[in-house]
Amino acid sequence: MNDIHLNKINHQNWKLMMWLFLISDIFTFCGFINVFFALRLNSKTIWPNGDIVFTYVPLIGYNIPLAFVTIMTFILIMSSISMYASTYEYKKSKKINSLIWLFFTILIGIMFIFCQSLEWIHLSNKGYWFGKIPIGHNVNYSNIFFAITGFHGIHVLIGIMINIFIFIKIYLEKRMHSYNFLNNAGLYWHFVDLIWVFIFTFIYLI
Amino acid sequence: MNYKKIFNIFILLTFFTLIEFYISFFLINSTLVKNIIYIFLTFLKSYYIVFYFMHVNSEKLYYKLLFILPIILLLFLTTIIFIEYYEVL
Repeated sequence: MNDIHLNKINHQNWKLMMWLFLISDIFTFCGFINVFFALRLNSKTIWPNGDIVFTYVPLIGYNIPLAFVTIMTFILIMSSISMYASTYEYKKSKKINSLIWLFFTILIGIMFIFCQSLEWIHLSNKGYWFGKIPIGHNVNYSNIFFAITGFHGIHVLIGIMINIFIFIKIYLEKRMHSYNFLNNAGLYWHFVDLIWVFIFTFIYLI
Repeated sequence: MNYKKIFNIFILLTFFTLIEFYISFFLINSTLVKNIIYIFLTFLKSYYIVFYFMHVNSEKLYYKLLFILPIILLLFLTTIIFIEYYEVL
């Protein structure tokens, strides 16, 4: 009896569970950002400024402050758009269009991870790493910066894995009945984008 | 909700990000004014992402309240914590 009942969970409940998970994840990131500000405002030594630390742009010879981070924000917003389009096409039961947009979403997500790893490699060459910083600055800065961006990067990686999984599922299925799954994957993906918008302001700009 | 509308939102989000990038090293000298503009633009962007991409806009009222009220409470708490930080300094 119970099994029959469980199979009939309607899509409102799926969405509700996803939202509860997202709210708990918002609390985690809020904790991180509060720790960032607590460390920053009680710092006894010099706290590095975002304009000075993040001047690296790959493929271009000269340095522009914060340009690469802006490009990364643009990339994530673009991937959010293609995820929305994929869900939209699936709802109109056009399977091939939905798969093409989902493929673009996965590709742009991998591009974001690639950009972030380039930035991490550059920073570690300049002397920023867990417990390391150029002399005279506060070492807590690099600790909390790598913790927050690493945590966000893991979220993007999990999102890419979910997207690849659902890509295979949609490709193999005969009848189109995985709209709830795709919708929830989309919610998670937009949430990652939302978190990046906040990180861009609170860690890099302010 | 069609492609044209979602494209307009995409243009808006990119535009807000470019404004943030532009005022980060030109235009304004006061740090306080800069920070207020950044936070205002961030919440504008998050409004567009949550209400249109995560389609909270087309949900029923009680669902909207369920999603939005915890976040408003969280923002309230964060504001209080920041004010306390600044009083310590």
